[in-house]
Amino acid sequence: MTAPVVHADHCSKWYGSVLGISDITWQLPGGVIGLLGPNGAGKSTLMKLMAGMLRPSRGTIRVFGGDPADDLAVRRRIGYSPEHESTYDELTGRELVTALAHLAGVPRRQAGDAAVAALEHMGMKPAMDRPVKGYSKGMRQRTKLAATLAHDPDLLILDEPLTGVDPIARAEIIDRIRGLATTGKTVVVSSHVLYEIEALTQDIAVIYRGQVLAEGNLYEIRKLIDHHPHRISVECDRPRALAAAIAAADHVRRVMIDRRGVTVETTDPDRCYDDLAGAVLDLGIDATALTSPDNNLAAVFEYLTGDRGQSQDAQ
Amino acid sequence: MTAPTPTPAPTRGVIHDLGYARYAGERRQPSTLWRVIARNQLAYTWKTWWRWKPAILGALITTVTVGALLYFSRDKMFDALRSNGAAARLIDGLIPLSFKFFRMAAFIVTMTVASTSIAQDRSTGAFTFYFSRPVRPIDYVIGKLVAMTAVMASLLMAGPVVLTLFRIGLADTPTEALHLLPLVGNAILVGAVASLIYAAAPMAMSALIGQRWPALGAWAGYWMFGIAMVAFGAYAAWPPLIVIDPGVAIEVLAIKLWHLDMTGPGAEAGLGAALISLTLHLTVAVGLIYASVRRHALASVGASS
Amino acid sequence: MTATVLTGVEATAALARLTIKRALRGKAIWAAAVLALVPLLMPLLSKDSPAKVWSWLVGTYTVVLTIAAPILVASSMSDEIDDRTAAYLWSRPLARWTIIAGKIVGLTPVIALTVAVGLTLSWVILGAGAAVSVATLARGIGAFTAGAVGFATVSATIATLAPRFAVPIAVCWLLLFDATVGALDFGLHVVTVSFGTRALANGTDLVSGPVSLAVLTAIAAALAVWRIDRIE
Repeated sequence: MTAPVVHADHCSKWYGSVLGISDITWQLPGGVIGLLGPNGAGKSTLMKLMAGMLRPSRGTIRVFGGDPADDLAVRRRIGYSPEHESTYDELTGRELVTALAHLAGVPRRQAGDAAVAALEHMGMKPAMDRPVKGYSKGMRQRTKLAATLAHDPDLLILDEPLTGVDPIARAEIIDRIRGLATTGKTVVVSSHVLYEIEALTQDIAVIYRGQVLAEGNLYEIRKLIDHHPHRISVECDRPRALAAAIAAADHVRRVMIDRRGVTVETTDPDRCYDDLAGAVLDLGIDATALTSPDNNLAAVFEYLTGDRGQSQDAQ
Repeated sequence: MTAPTPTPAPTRGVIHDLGYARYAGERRQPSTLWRVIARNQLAYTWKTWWRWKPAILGALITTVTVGALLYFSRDKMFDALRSNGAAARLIDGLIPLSFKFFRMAAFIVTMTVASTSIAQDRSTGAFTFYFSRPVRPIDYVIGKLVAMTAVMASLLMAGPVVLTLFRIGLADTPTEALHLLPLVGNAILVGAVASLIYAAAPMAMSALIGQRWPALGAWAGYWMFGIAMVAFGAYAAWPPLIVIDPGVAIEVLAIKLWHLDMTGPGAEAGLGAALISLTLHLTVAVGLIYASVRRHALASVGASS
Repeated sequence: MTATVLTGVEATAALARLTIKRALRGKAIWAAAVLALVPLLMPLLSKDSPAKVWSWLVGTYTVVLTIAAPILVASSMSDEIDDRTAAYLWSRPLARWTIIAGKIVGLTPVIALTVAVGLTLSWVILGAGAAVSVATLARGIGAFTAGAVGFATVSATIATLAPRFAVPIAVCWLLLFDATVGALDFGLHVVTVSFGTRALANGTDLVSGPVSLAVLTAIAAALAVWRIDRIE
């Protein structure tokens, strides 16, 4: 069994009286993992601890078997991209990435080439000789990512890398992050936007109020909470008729009707799908969509946090 | 099974009422928006321990110390000195001389707030925030100036006025008190003029340079030795021109209004010269602030498009 | 590509280069340059003897240092915290002390150079070697270079102690306390960088001046190194 890339052992961090993370014991074996949680949940604190920028107030955190705060050899293997978009705006993209690559340990003569390669990988080569202050948000994020990977780290810690970027840039960045995973690197990505994480990876850790609430494969986690009632929504032209036909079934816990259709809460999703299909055919209902809101990350998150308000905020 | 009822044609777009209600209450007249800017500036200046509060402490210490000196100068020992003509200068000169110390307190606030205020608004994008609303450059300038002058008045006017009232309270006879009453006006005049200068001059530097730390450095250099050197050079040509330095001009104003004899380079400058210098300084500073704010306000909200 | 961990000297040099590159593209360096040129008015306008003007120049350039050092060094540290770019440095495999060292090593020559240029131009205006000896000029430049190290280190220390408010606090401290007390003819002046700088430049107090300057700089550096390791 290989040693975990990150191992937090009863790790807590507080800032004065404010708790950042609380008694986290967690292992990251490798691959791409999404840290998911609402704003203020403790994701950034956990990432800064992994990057060696903070020391735990209590407990330990180990990265590649060493202490990232004190062991420079460990920190050399880490690439950290902060959540904010501030950079050294006076510099050009190339100068910025070159300087940061050199500071990360790339010999001075090779830092320029490493920077250009990283910028090219992130699609920033055409703009790399322009000052960063003229960059759009998407360009800044891509330049930050280039600066994160220019020294070829083994662990990439990307704090909210998709914040503020437009959909096209978002899709490009997602592609490039997924590409990094295929090169064998461990990538930790945080977001409070659920579909961003879903687009990147199925391995998640849900952070909430400073603790790891759940971890593992998204669908495995979903299975673990199968006792939680499933919701199935049907968009149709006659929701009342469909609701009346299905309401008497023993697996149906609740039926909700709105203008667009019916949402059924069931303890047996398979039977429910069968019954709904039968009713639609028997009654000649014009059904336009069939979805299960509980089969996505939002539902998992909502269920785990037990806080609908927070979940909506997270989305 | 009943026949399907006709359904309305599906809508292409729906606006959900999420509870937002357009504000329908009273709105401020644009001409009063400067008060919002002023309040905001005052609140900002008051926040944290290091902007305004240490200067208040400095002014308070000066007031108490000078007040104590005023009180003890009534002592018999001072009476004896007064008969020699020495204490007369001490008791009458304490308040105008104390402006030097009050000015030090005010200088701290020019460093911590006034010289960086507009530059910070420019560099952080607050101009866009302000001027995308019905705030005009003149409202912004008035708001900033009024707030900063009030801050400076708390340091340059409050102490001298309190001390002057205290001095009147120490008068031996009602006639003497009545005789001293005009000194309150003097304290208010010198304090007000000094407050205006200490508010406008650093803010002009701030507006001109547009980046807070360079603005702070330029202001400190200008006030501590830049303008003094120009005045020094002018003094060599014609001594009354020493009042080009606003610090000297304020000192001349105070000393002359208290009818005291002045020593040093300012001795040859008159009250009129000091007032002209201070008025010019103020006019140039306010003009620079307005011109700079107006130019950047238009640029920040894309007036050209 | 083989990334390694930079040695302290390599990291300091890399940070110094980055600091200079950024400073050269900002406004603070121009403000410092203008500050250093303003005292030229003194030899241009004064009718006093060159020796007297030189003595004023020493005092004025000491005040220039009390402003130039904070607006370059303290602002460089403060802006890293305020703009949150410190995250890029904190997350690199660098010893924290190299960040302080890089800022001081990068910016001190800039401060010293601007003052040296101002001082040399003043010397030329005063009549060059005929009015003030070359040795006096050289001593002045040396003194202000040493003073620049001291003021830069104190500014950096204040920046580690109060990162967000470093510049106004450093200017107020250096200008209102250090420069004022340093100019007093009183034993307490040894606790100021100004005193050591003036003493070296004037060629007086050649024991207590340099010793106090060196001790103060060392204490400030030690405090800054201790403190920066604790900034989160």
